[in-house]
Amino acid sequence: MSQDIAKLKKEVLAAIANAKDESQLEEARLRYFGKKGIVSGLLREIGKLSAEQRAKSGAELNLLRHEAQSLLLSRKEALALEKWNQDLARQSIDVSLPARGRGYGSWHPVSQVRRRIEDIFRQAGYDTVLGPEIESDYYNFEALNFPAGHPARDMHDTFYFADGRLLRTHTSPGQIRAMEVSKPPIRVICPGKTFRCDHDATHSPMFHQVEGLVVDRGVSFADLKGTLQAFVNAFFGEEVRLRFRASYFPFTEPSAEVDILRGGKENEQWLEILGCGMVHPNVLKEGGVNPQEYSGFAFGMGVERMAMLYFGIDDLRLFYENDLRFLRQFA
Amino acid sequence: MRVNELWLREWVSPPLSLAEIAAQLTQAGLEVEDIQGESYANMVVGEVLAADSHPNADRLRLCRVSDGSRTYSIVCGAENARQGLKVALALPGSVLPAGVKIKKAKIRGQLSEGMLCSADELALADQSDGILELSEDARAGAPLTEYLPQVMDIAVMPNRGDCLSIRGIAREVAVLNKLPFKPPLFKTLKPQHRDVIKVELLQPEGCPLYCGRVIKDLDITRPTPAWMKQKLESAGMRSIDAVVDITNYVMLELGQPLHAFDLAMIDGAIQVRAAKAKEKLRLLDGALIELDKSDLLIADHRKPLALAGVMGGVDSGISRKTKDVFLEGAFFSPLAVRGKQRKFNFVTEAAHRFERGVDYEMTPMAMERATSLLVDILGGSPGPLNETVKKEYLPDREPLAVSHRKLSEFLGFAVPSSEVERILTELGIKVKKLDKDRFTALPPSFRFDMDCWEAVAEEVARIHGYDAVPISLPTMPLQPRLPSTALTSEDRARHWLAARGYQEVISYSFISDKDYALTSPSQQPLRLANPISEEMVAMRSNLLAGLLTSLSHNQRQSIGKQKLFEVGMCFVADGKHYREENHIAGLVEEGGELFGEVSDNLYSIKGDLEMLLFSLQAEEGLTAEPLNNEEELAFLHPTQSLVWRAKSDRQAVCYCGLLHPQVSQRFKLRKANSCYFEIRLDRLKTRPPSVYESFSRYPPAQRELSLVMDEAVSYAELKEFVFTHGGSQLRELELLDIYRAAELGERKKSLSLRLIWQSESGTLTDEQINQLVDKLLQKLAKEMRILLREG
Repeated sequence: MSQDIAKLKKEVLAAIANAKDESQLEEARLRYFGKKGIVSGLLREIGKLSAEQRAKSGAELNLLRHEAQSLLLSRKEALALEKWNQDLARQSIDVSLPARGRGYGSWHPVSQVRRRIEDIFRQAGYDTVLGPEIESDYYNFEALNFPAGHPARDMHDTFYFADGRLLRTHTSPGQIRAMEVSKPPIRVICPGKTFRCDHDATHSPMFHQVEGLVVDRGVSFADLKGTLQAFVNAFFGEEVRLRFRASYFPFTEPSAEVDILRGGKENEQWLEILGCGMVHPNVLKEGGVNPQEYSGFAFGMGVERMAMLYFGIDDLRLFYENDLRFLRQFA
Repeated sequence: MRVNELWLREWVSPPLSLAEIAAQLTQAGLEVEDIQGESYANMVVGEVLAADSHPNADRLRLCRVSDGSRTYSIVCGAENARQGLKVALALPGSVLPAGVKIKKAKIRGQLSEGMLCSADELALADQSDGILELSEDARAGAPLTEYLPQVMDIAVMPNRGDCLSIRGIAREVAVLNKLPFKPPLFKTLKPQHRDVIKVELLQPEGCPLYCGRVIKDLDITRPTPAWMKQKLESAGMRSIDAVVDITNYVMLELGQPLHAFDLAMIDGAIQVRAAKAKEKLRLLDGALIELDKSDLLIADHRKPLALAGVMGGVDSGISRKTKDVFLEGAFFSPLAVRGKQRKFNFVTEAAHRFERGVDYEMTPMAMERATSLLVDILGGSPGPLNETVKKEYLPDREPLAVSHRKLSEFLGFAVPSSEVERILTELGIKVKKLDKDRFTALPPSFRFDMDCWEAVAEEVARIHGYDAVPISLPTMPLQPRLPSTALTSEDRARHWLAARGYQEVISYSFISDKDYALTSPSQQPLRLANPISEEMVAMRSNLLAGLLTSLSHNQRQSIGKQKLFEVGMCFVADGKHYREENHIAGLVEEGGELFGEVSDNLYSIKGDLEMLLFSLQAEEGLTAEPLNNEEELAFLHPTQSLVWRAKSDRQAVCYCGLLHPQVSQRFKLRKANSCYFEIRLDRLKTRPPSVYESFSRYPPAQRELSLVMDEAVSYAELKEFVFTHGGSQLRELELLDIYRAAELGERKKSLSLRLIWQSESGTLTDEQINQLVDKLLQKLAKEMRILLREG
């Protein structure tokens, strides 16, 4: 009998494996395992055998049934998957058609760079303060040690309103406003729009600055140099050579212009990037800070200038033309 | 300030090239913006030995030119090339100002070993005929810079009026190079007559010091000597006549503006007084100005002669008939001169210096210098120097108390006290030691910018060199805190909008009156008093005009499917005043259909706006309403737009919709149905932080209903009604479909809704739901005439 079972097993497994679809598979199942099936028949006849024979053939038949059922199941799954795949193949579409939705937008390069500057200082614990764009003469000039009629005012081409107020020419009024609302130690930056009555290839009537102010006991000119060196390195993501030159701003004493060295060995050049200095005692006094006790430094940089250096932009006018062929390059 | 190298070297001459001196000055705060004639450094004086005609070209000459040691063959096209002429010779290897490198070349078959330069090739003129002719006594082979000086253009900051002279710059150069500063000794002439003009200082706070001198019998016809002319020209000044040229020369040299009057035109004594209201004066440049009491005048007993420290009058000026001169050298206080240039709309060298401060201790020396030059050049006999002074009105110079320790702390490094003393002393600051640590520093009469001890620190740092200052970082308490929120909501909006495909633009805050009227129809603009142009005059009250301009610009470049946004300050009328208000706005170009799906219309921009409101954590009470003829929103489509109002004060916080076709047309948009949204960020109230509420875990039950109603019933109305009458356990209402067909009846529509109920306390039975639905349908039919769709 064993020989017969072994032969049968071969036959059963082949029938299952060769079933081409679900109906052939079902047919095979019924033929061997249905109520009138061959294997079912053999199982019924097993009782007629000797005890020894019965045990042996019974075990062999059960094993056959087990293996066959497991094969049936996997064959069934395989056939189903095959059918799905045939269906899916018929659902072919042109996947190269353009995506729905209108691509990606991006921040204006000025916003990106403003944010980068802000992130760097925020990481060092600086607060961000904002001031109004329409300022009084007091905050824009007087409190910053530009007395009325002082020739230093001629350095600022100012937009005025009929009532004597003006569009701020720099973000430096933020220094006074910051000192008015907080006590030392102060570390703030003040980003924003600024305006000057000047319009040509290298001057925009509207531009952006970021002002910085640190006031505490014992703040030194060396601290100012160190802070700006660290900032510039972080901004450009590499060690950058800085040059501090003496300069003049009414609201700082000493004052400095800062240049950075850019370009390769062949064409290296110093480029002016920001102005800075130690806060003038008159300005500290206006902000309600005692210059006998405290000192501070301030700096101001043009965001467009930084953006031009960062992105390699060579024409200031591009920033406000809002041409998408330009803006989309900075995604 | 333009500084002629040769003139500077007469005063101080360190063993450095001009470029090196320029670098020193730039570091020390006197920024050299340009060196004119930098390229002359590698050129020499040449002498034309022969100028023969070129064998192969009629218009060219073949010159033999000597540099003193060798003779070169040079082809030249200039007609004035002739034997004996001294020329600017550029030999191979030298570079012209325009960047052209000189090389040996064959020109029409003849070797040319260099170039003879014209004035324009040397950047001395825009145009010139022929080659530049140097003076006859120029020595062949000498560096060209001995005859054509290089000139530094120095940006002198307003605090350093003392550096608006050769004397001032020379002092800086001397200190920077640790050289002694020794001004040349000028001779003092003995008076040859006793005539003086009496001077009355009636406005001593404006003019506390006035020196006058009568010089008689000048020969006004004699010309200005060439050496002086050349120096004036190198400083950018035109030669006028010898008297004026001499006063200008002394001003450039010593920094003291002087003025010469025609003595014959002065009646009686000189008065320095305030002008009377409406008094008139015709100036040297011909302009007639009307004065007021704030103006300071030089006058005689009958008439005004000059606007003090600014410009002389034409009637009392030097003319060809002038024989006797009254020379003026005065100290006009900065406050008396400030603002005059702007007020009368001209600039003068004198006013530029006086408003920054002129050295009042040097005025007599400048008078002597000018007198001796006048007498040397024009002859004449000088009278005595008449100095009228009211000392108590001269500027105060207070000694500044400095602590050496504090100064070192302030700069962040220790400067040896001997170095501090050297620097200050050489700068003319008088140092007096008080003890080991403290000293006083008395600023000199020429410094008007030192009013605090920090200014002393600046001088030390500046001369010692900013590069020598070490670097350190400030230390401050590490106080944990939230970042300031100033820009966070703005930047959050930027992130969301960019992610939704919007591109940020930045537009000017000022627009034209025309655009303003179109985009802000309900208010008057805040206007600039001095705009750059009529296109940039009105402060925007919203962001529409800028976005439209950008959209239109890009349409002209054939860029389609634009989605733009901007964040920026707007200036909104608030009664008589204007408020600054931060706005966010977006403009979406009508995009047409994409794969059969309407891509942009009111509902997509509404979705973008609602997304923004959600991400900006807008308060709950904000509700959207159709427009109701609001004049301020007249730029929107009246029936396809929405406005969100705050519950509390009904203020319009944001709005969106299609643009009014008139607006699209005026901005020349390609199509009429672009969509716009705007949020007045500063009016947006935010909801409080979320507090957790428990939620029902019982299974929800749902029903779908198709309801037929009049077109006029809005979804918002229907929704409110359903929630009011659908039972307290109604959780959600979902719109599945809108269906319109003739079978529904005239002006009818059918809305398919899914309603979802959920109880806090148990599973809802079918029967309970059926009761709720029946009750709702009865109410809908009775009160709204809304019926269940049949079939």
